[in-house]
Amino acid sequence: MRYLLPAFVAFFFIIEGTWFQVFFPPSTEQDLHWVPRFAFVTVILISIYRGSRSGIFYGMGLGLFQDVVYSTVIGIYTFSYALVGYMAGLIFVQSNQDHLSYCSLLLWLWRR
Amino acid sequence: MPHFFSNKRLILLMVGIIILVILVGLTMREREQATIPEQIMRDSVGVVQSVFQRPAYFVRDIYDDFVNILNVHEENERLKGQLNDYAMLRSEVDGLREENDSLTSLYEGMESLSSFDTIPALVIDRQPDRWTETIGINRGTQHGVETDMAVITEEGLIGRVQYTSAFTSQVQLLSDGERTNRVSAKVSSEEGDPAVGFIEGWDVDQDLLVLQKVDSENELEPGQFVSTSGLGGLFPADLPIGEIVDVQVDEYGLTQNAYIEPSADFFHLNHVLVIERNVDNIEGIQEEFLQQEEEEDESEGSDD
Repeated sequence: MRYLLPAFVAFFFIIEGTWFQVFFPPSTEQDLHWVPRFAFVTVILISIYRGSRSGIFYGMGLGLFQDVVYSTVIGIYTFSYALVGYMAGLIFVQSNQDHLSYCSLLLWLWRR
Repeated sequence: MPHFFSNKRLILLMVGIIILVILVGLTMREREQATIPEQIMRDSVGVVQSVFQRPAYFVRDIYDDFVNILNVHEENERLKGQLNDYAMLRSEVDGLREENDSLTSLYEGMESLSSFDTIPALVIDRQPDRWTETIGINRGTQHGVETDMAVITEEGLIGRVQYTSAFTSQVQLLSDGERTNRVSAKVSSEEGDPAVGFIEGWDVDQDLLVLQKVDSENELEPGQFVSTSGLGGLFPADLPIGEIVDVQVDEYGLTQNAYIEPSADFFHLNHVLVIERNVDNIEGIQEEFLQQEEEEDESEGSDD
């Protein structure tokens, strides 16, 4: 069970680059391009439920992989994902039972 | 307003930013080769990606087949029309091939600049947010792939190998607008020398490739075919790129820009070919040229 969460994040990370582009390829007809961020949303959820500390580590790990595998410059995603992971964890600290705040955050993310 | 960061965390944040700046500074330059840890990470992710990707392509192919069946009748009509031209083309090609054989046999051991071998590869990752920039393929240095090799589909050129690791490599697409990403291309015309220019990126509004720096004396027309010139030194000559759709004079009025509809389908890349140029031959040809020149020099010298 310990490895379930990392495996979950890894699964979504792989899906973003592989399955998504095969089944929903962007086309010239649409102005809107869908960019999947499943793994990132998962990291935010983990951070909300388990606190800032796990948020930082999951964010940093995911960001590092994102940098190395999909782009050429290392550090951008590593830093920003870790930061956002930390920030998302603050919601957990401040409003322990207030589901409304993180639901609204998630809705905002999905709409992007 | 609550304190977001205590003192200790503020220091950690500063250290984080410093590390970020150093890392970005070190990796931002155009590098010859990715570092060993990066290669290992890419390879291990690449293995998992290919495991995921194969069944996805399988399902997608079944779906595409289903759609194709619906269009079979239309396509059949169209193909019958094309078949009439085929016989004529066939005889012309046979004639040209014989002529070509006889001419090349005159130059013994010399193969043309466009000779190459191919390495088939599967596209294992492509991120929608870097859609026009890079793809990952499941062939690396172990299979003979090296940086700057050309990558094609059956229809035409799509890009060059940017980074390699042992079992995977990253391909920079033609449509990537990065400044260092240029391909020397030529427009073949029926009379005279071909017009030469550079493919420099992707026009986002029209979804077309842009061919720049073509001399304004050359007359370009929509419908002309564009292929690699082989003058860049990296790619073999005569790989098809696309067809001209629109021609415009550039902002200074000295050169022309042409907009090109790529012949390869950039939206459905799954099987690609990496081109291994026959370097031995090229070196052989160069040596031959040098020898000939030396001989000519000597003979001129003896005449005097």
